[in-house]
Amino acid sequence: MGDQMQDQEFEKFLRSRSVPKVSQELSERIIASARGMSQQLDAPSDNVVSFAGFKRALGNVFSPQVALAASVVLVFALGTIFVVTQFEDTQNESVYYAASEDVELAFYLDDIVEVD
Amino acid sequence: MTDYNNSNDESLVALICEGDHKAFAELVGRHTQMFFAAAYRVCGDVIQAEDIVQDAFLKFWTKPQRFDATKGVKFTTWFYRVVTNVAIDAMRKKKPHVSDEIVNLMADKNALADEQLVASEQSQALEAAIQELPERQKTALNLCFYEGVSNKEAADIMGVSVKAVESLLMRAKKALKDKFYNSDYALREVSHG
Repeated sequence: MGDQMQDQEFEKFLRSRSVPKVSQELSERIIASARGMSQQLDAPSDNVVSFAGFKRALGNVFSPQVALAASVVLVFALGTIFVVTQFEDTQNESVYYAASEDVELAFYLDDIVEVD
Repeated sequence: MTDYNNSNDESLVALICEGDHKAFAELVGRHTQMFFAAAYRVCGDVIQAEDIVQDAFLKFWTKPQRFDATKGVKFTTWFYRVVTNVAIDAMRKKKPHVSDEIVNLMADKNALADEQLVASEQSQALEAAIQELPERQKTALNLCFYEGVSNKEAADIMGVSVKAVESLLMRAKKALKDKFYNSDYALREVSHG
């Protein structure tokens, strides 16, 4: 065969093909990316206070039963605060309108006085 | 307490299906080098091979249920198929011009200055020649010849019969041999090395 490679030599040559060693960083990067993806999936979709959000947050600290009870209490308390605040705002608005009417009346009376 | 180190791949996958991140980390640490090698042998580029492995593992993390252990297939067999398919997809999107590379390597006789350089160029020429093989021949060669996968397992990975794998292997080796016999540079230097 002259210069031609023998079968065995050719096999040996084929076997000499090497692959670079992968860096340790690759594994770490994959693991970190997967963790990041999980956190994104677990995160609430927006900032709206939700019962499920409270339950999940408290569930990380307390037992499921305690978390459930605490969530109910928290949501109820926040709901109450929200209603009271709204009511107070409405009351303030009524006072404002009442005050405005008084001022207008006063001006009106002043006008009458001035005319006199 | 789960013993991740001593759990087999399939048990780890079951835990991953429940969102167990430690099981995923164990599986990644265990097999990254092996699948990186598989990806590298398909694309011949370190950065691209790393991207392929990362992409395949993250796809698996989002949908681990795609691996059906009840079918009796090993995780590594199934994941070889995933990595190979991702790699082939990546290669189709970005086809390298290996023909020019081979021509340049074999024509540049001035580069044969010392033995080390010759060996390096031979290995580059071999890599380029393998990259030029038809897709299925290359996959069969990579799996059976380089990854040490059995012909039966390679047939499962590729979704073909064992006879087809044997035929692909034979054709791949013949094509490479012909390529090197026909290139006076590679043949002479290798047989003397």
